[in-house]
Amino acid sequence: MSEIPILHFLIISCALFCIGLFAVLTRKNAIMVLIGIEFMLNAAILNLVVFGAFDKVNNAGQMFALFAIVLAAAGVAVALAIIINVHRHYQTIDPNKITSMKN
Amino acid sequence: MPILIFYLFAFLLLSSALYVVITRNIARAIFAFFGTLFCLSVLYVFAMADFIAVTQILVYVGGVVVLLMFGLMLSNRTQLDSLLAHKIDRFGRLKGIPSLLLCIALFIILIHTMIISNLANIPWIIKSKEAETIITGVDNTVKSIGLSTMSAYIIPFEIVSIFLLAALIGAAYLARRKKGYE
Repeated sequence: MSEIPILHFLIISCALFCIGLFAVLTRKNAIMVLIGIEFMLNAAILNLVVFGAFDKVNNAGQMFALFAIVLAAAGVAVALAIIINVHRHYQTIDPNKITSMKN
Repeated sequence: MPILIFYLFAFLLLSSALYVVITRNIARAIFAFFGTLFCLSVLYVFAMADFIAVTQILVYVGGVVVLLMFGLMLSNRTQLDSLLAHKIDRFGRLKGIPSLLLCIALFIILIHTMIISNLANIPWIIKSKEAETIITGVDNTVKSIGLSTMSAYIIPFEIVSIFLLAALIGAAYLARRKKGYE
């Protein structure tokens, strides 16, 4: 941990967050938007883990990283179920084309 | 040498993440996403979180990527249409420029904030270094995570387990085949 400065970890997670934000903003496929959200979540988890390395007694960073991973996985399962439902209903998963919640 | 491996995997992480965002082929994007998550778990090992790294591989690479592939296969019919539409729409790429500018601006702001926040002198990190409560390579993080799961974080742990059950039931309910459609 002492060899690699925290700043380098944080720059990597920053870049990952911005890449994820770009995917969320520009992609025209709901699955790719979901992947962008996963990138942003993973950037946050990387930050938790990096700062958690300085907290051996409580280990709070790593515990919250674990909880975040579990919540992200559950979120992906529900989001994919919704995407499949939307595809069955509208025959498309382009977020720009899905304009009404009920036909 | 380990530092070189760190920077190699950081480079791989960012390049595969960029490939995910740029490529038009969604199946390839999901496999590049797999690579990104794998490189990220290597970075967790460098941050002294071996158990988190293993969990990352198990949950994300084993679970989320497979789920995404299923989602892709079940909604693949629209992929061809969107590719055809892109060929007609010549200004499609120009639409991405404002969001690209926004992301670059956010990146610069975040980096600037980190540099002015003076990361080397955060009080609690200095205190932790003095008290020698930094996780080193010889510490058993699995034991410490298990102890804190069963003591300090027992209520979040139970809530997460109920949440997982609810999410799985909800996903199965949402994805079921309804009578009216097919």
